[in-house]
Amino acid sequence: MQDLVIGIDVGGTKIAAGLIDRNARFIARDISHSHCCCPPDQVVDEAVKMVQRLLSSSAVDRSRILGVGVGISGHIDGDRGIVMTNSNLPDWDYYPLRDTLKARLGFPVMIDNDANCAAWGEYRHGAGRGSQNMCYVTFSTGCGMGIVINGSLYRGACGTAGEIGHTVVNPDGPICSCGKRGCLMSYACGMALDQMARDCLKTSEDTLLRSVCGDSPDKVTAEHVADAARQGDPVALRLLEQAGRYFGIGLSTIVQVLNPDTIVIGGGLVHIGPLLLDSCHKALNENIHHVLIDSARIVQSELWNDAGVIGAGALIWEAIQEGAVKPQIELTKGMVFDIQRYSLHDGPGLRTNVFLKGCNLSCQWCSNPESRSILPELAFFDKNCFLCGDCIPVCAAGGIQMKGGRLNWDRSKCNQCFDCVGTCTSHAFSIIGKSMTAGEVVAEVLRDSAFYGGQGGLTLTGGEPALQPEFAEAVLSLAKVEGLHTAIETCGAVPWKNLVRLLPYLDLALFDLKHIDAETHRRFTGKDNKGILENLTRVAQSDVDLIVRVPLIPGFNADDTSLEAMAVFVKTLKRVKEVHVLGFHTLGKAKYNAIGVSYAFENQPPMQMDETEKWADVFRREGFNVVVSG
Amino acid sequence: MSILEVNIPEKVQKNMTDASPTITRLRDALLDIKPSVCVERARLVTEAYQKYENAPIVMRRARALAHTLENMTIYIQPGETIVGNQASKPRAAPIFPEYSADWIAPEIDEFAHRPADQFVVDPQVKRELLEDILPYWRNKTLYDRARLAMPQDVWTAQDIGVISGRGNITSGDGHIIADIPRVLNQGLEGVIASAREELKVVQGTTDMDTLRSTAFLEAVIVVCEAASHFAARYAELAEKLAAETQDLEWKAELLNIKEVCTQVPGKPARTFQESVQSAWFVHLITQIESNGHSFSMGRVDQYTYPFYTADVATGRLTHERTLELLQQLWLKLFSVIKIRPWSHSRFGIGYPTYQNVTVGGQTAEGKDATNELSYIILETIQKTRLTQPNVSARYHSGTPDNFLLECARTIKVGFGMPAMKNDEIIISALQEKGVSSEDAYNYAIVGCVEAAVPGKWGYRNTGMSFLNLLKVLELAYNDGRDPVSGVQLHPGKGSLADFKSYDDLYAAFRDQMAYYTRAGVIFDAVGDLALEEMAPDAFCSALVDDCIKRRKTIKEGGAVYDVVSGLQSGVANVANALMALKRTLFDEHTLTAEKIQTTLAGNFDGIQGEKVRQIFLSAPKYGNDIDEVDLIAKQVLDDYLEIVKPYRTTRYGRGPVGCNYAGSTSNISSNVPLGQPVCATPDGRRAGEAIAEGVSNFHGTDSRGPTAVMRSVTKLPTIKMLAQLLNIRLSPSSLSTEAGLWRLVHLLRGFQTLKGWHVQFNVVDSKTLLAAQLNPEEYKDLVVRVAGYSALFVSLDKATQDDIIQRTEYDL
Repeated sequence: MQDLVIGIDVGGTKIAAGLIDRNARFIARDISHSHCCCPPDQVVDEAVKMVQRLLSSSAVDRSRILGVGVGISGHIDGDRGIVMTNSNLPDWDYYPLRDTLKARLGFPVMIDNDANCAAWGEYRHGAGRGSQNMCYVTFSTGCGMGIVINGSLYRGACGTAGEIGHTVVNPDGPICSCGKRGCLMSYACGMALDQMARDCLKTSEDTLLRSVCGDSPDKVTAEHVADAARQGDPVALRLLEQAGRYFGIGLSTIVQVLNPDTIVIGGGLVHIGPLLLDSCHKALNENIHHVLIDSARIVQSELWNDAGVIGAGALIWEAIQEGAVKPQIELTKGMVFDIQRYSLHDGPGLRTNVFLKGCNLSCQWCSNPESRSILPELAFFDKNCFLCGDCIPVCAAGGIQMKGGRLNWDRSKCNQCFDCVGTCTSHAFSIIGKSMTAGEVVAEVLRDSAFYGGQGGLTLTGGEPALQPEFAEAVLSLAKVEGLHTAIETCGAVPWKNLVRLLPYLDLALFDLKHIDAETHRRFTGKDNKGILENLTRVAQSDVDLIVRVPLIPGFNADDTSLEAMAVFVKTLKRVKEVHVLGFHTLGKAKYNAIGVSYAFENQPPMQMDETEKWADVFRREGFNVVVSG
Repeated sequence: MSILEVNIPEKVQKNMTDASPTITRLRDALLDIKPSVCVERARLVTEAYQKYENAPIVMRRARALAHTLENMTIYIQPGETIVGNQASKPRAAPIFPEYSADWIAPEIDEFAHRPADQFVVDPQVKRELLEDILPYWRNKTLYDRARLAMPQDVWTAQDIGVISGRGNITSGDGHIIADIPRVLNQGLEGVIASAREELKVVQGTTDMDTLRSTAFLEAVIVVCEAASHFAARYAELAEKLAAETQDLEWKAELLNIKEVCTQVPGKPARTFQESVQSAWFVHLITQIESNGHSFSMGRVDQYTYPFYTADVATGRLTHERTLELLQQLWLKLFSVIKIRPWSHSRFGIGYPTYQNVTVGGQTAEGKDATNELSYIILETIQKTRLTQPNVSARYHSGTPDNFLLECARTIKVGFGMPAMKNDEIIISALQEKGVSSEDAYNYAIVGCVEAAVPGKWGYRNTGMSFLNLLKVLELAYNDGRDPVSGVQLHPGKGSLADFKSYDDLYAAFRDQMAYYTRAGVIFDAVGDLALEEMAPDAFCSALVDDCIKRRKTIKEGGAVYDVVSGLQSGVANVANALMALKRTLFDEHTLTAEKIQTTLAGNFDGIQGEKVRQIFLSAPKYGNDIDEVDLIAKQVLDDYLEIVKPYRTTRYGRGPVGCNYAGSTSNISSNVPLGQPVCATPDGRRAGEAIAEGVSNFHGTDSRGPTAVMRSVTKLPTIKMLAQLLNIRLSPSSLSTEAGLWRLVHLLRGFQTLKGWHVQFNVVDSKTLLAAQLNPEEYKDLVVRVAGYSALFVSLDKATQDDIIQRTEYDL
């Protein structure tokens, strides 16, 4: 089961990584400072080590990982997986980060700008939840922004949208790292505060900064400024007021241009609190049109340092949703012998029935005899044959002959090479059973999503679907992700561990009950019913809705004693919504012929409706809501 | 509209309803009648044409209508509450000699014996027609004019079966909804007042066009007065019968009829009964005036609703009485019948008159319009169980589930009614054609499945000439030469062996399609000009906006909206055939061009032929939600629409919005005759076999059920159409329980979401299953479903089939 992602946030001073589930809960986390200012190869080495540590510390198997999302500062081309430029880290121009990491890790990888990742994290799991148009602005070492418009990340024409830090707020201001003058980043970020504090220390102003930073004025930082300001130092207060004012001007531009409903502010500087933010709010309101005042909620980050990691991981979930990343679960393979859309009888609403091949009962009346073997098998539909004879020479085993104007297939000679199928244009020879991935199955089921109307959905049937538990679980869990109603039709003759793993993804179980007496059951189905009754009792204790299905088979259970015993047993179960009784029919007869198997009920006439109704009354008398099917 | 064989009147069973004794009696009597021919209209019209030979044609025809209404036999049958008859007897077809007459003499002895739509002809009637009436009409009819003007190549295109427009010039236009609400609210007196108003403008003018229009305005007054007088004849008759009867209840009813017919349609309706009676008179007179079919009644549940609520409020009207009046209206609509030449009849068999009644939908303001009458009309269908009128239910996202559930319950009765129309696409499709929002929300269905704005749209929003797309494809891979007749009207781009790629083949198809589309447009224009000059309808024009204001008949450009559409037939076959050729010839090289050509020419004969057919059948088929082939169908329609886009109708530049072509696939039962001239085709279809109907899949090629069919259909360019037809068969067992009915509601909601235009359901009964047992080839697509198992019915052995037939009967 793939259910986890890894998020990595490559910042200017640290790399943070986390192993995260769908609800953004951390299973494990890791942080590293050792790569600072390193070339890309060393950063990749470090990231790979961190992923290994995450997996080993949590003892999570790598098969559970859906993919790795990476947020990194700079101009990122996410579609091509390339870092265009990075101002914090040297030697990164045009570095193919995505494919390099993918090759090293063996997981799908997605990369994006770190502010975009943080914005996405806040939008999906943090302070931006419920908003429609949201901006996330970070004031930490540097200053950046991620934009969510109409619920999607907005990246712009060349992927660099949101670079608020390099908008010019004062053309006569100091020179910025980008070469321009007076960028917002030269005033309102950690680096700018550091620089301004240093500049102050070069003057003769009397300030506490000198003492809080010890004797090394070159090492003064924004945190020193905050400390000094908290002690009332006028110089520090002025520096913060100025940074806050520019911060506010930056926000005003955002409100003025994008009119978002929410702005989430994050990054280390925001922790300084009112000393910085009061002037920020003031400047914001002074610099926007009056109708826009209070138009946007300004809220502080909820995820803080985790925003980048969570958002990077969320990129993977998003990509799966959009089909850009195929999770392993979609590739789980199973043996399917039919998919029937517009199915009306196996659960509520309109449904798509997926028939899984393989069953370990061999009920003598079974109407899908081609479902018993889990392997693909050859079938010959006499009706379709127009006697061209092309298949005769193709059968190396010599199993096909023309006899008395009919084609005769000797099944005992068949070695299942299926060569005949290729020559048969009319599909008289067909292969029953096809290997499909869970993704293919669910994609087919989703073709009818317009018709499910909140009630209908997917029914797994067969054969016995729980005999392919991994595949069944994959199909059901994918269907659940898509919000479909899910049901299973089971004969119950499987180990409980096969069934129990499916229950979390099921809304309804249609559970076959054939007989209460173990010996009779064994005689007609090849197995006794001990496990079946136990499983039925356990399903009845789960929170899955339960319908008990009773096939009415003459000579087996269609008698008062058998049915009454069954009714009494079912009565002991909780959660039984309905009892369905199915009158004996012979619709499977042609299929027995097609696969060359003899049919024990060959000469048994189908049950008439009045008889079916009579047996239904046995359950009605016990107070059950009974549905009679033909 | 497509009425499947299960729906044709001969198979309508008597004594099946739980209607009142009166309705049951009237209904059973109607069903007992063998349709016949009535000579009265032919006689009266001929008299008037002769008498008014000097009058302008519009006035001459107005006089003919007035003379007919004044002198035709009228009757009131015991028990009738809604009165007014089309001919001397119920289900007797009047003759419209002014449209076409040549066909009558050669066919008259066959009327009673032809394969379908038979009519009994009384010897007296035959004598009068052949000796007294028809000689006058030689070379004087609409058909004679159109035939004379038709270019020979266009006529040949029809002869070889690529296009067909003969119905339009033998039987006239129809396909229209008159402004019935106006008559209910203002009476015909209101219409006369408008005409008089315009006449004042005309007086003293020297403008030639204005002067010419005087005749139309005067003709409007003549026919409206004649209509009121016609009603007065019924008032008089009712009074006379009342005096004669001893039955007090019936006497009271007759006196009531007298009062009603004195008031309407001349004056505004005052009660629900008057509104129904007035609407019926208007509808009936348009049917007598001209020969077309698909005259439709519009949104009956909407325009009679104010009268209904007022009557209910005063206690004058009960549920039973409402139901009674509507059932009487239904019987009246069923009694209308028309006779066509066999060449035209076979395109729409089962005596169809395509009189559509629309219920439900939205108001002009976009609010849900479903009301009590919508439900009562569904009940009326269930109780009368007749094939006419043809009821359409509009639905949209705001339609109550309960209404859809009642529709499902009505569909279950098995008459394919109501046919479901999806507001979510139709309204946008109309707006796309230039219709105002308010008018688009107020649309109603005409004839079969085509949408129009009641009282504002010209004739034939669909129903211009047929285009046989499969025949077009056959020509395309035969160098433009028809393999049956040897005719080559438009040289092609080579034969199958000459095409280097699928694109070459498709280009050849598109080229032929362009040629024959143009031929169809010419056919239409010649027919339209003849209709304008020979068959103006003053009464119908008076009831379509803005004819009176513009002083023009509909055909002269009087209607507010005038978009038309031809009928593109065989989309599914063409897509399947192109797909099969693409795969076998160009992609996988499993067959050679020579092999294909000889096999098709040999109609898949012999083992080798069957092998090729099976290879063709293995290619993906339209209707199974397989994009590869569905998108070919889409491309064919897209290209058709692109080709037809520049063409204009004869009304272009004369006033109406539109005057161009949209698409339509509502090809009635033409799929059978259109298949006849086509040899075996690469979709696996044998020579002469019917082609697919509407946009439905070709029979026997839908293996994935109705949801897949709906998905395929909704990939087509529906927004650009004016009509789209999808027929789906359901087994009665699927609707046997309340849960089953709800599932049909889900199916409809899905169709709504996918933006399909129209869907109707045929619920097969055991009779059909029995027929399927006898003729499995014709029922290849019949699916039966039981728990956890489903099968093609015809694939089952006889004993199993018998079993299912028994179950089915139980289910019903």
